[in-house]
Amino acid sequence: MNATEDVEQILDLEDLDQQVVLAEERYRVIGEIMCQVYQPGRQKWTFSDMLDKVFLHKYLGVPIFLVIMWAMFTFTFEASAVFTVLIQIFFDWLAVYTSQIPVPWLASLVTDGILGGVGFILTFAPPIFFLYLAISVLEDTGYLARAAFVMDRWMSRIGLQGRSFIPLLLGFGCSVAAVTASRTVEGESNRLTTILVAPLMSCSARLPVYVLFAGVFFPQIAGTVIFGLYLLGIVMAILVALILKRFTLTGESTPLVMELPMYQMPTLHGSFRHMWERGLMFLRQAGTYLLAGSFIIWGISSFGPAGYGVDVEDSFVSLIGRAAEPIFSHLGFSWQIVVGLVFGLLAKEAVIQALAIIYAVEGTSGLQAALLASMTPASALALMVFVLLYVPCVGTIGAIRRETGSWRWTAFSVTYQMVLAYVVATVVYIIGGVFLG
Amino acid sequence: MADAALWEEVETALPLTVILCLTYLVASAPELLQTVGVLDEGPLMPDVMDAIIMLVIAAVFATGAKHLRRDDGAGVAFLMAGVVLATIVFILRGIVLLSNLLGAVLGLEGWLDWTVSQDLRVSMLAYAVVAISVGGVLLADRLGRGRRPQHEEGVSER
Repeated sequence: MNATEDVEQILDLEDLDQQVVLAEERYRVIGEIMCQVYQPGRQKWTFSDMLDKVFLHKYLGVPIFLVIMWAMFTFTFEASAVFTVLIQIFFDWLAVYTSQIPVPWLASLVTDGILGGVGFILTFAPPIFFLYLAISVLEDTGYLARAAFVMDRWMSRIGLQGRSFIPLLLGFGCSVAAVTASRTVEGESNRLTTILVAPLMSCSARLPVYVLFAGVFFPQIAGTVIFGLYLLGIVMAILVALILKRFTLTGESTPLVMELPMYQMPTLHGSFRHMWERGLMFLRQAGTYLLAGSFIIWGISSFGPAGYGVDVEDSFVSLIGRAAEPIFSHLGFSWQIVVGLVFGLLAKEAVIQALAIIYAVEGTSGLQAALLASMTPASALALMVFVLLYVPCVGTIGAIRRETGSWRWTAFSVTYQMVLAYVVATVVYIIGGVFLG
Repeated sequence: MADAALWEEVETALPLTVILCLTYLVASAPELLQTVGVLDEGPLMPDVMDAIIMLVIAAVFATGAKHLRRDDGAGVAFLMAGVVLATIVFILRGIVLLSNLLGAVLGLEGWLDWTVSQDLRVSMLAYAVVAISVGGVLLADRLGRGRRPQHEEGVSER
């Protein structure tokens, strides 16, 4: 038996956590060195200590966390609205010229397919960049690390460790990153539970859907509606984790040990650089496979069994939408919305990309007006909840398969998310119908 | 703000914390009552989230006041954190107002009927009390420090 096994055996016997023992030992050594070299003066209470006293408070920590979350999403939606409209005006101006291309099919492809699809997605670059800026500022101040600490108390109550909240926080940016980061979580059951609930955290790809629908149907309280959706994602992740830990993935929870950095004043250069690095991924995505998606959606919207130039109602895209429409008819989703949801399985940005192209090919001017005419506010709310909870994208499914190493868990993840999204959206539609009409 | 010693004088911190707590508590009440329909709408937009956020800030100040009443210096941390939170909310509201002002100046379609009062919230007015009272205490300290001998300016004890 080697030394490592000896130590592990002692830890098992004493029921101790290796991380805790390591941290205690590290601080003991630091304490001994400090005793030898440091002459204590009058103790000063730093500003960082003061903030931690409150921001990590037993009762006030969570409300303060929620206030900061709300501030982040209000900033994301409300402060970016002007820039979104400016980009929209630019693409509208461009469309005036592209629609005059003498070859009709090419004019339609460029105007309805590329500008209507990718161009429309790009109008949502400002809220995505603003969200990344807010996350960067929170990261650079040192608050994001504290958020995991604040949530640890709640996470440990449901049997998860606070460390699980770090991958979940990454899920606000990208679900694939969240699933991949779950490998830092200790314990097989904890890790698996984190992987399974990570997709429920609302990634930035879903943001354009919320911005569009909340802006159209709830313009006065759009920021609050978006904040509510992010909160619902967290609540659902906690509930699902609770169920999984109680009935399927039982296992011990381990304490969270982390060293918190001092609070820092974020620099303009640093925060903007982080925002740009993350935002660039969105732009690359728009320029590559969302562009390819535009070609495909335009193609199946313009072609039907009778060939090119058919009415959208007789196109291939209509056939797909109408086939799946009955499943969602009780939620008031039109076949166009259903097509958006089907393409949303590839990437969440494709939901509104598909809608924009279908309505553009259809000849409907103004997506916002078309949505207002075809849906009720309760339906819009149900749609946003469905988008929040159903499978984020094929990339996430691949990441779950890779991290779990099991097709069974991957299938379970996809199935439970679809069922959860369907059930919760139905409940939201029923309750929303009572209050919103 | 950086000079924690100033705030750790309970006779300075306690009245300030109580005033700020009451300001946010009283300011949140009309917005809550307007939201539930008990009060008629005033000149500012009723916003339930604004009211809830002011209640959280008031709770932070109230906890600080509770500590300071027991002569516990930890209460100062709550005063500081409350001011930081109130400042974050004020800056956020200011950014939103400025971005909408840009929309109005550029004459964008959605901003043709926009007025400044649409983006003014009660929390912004409540922040005026924070700015004036905290600014006043800082100014008084700076003026007083000019008259104090250097050795009296020390670091505080926890």
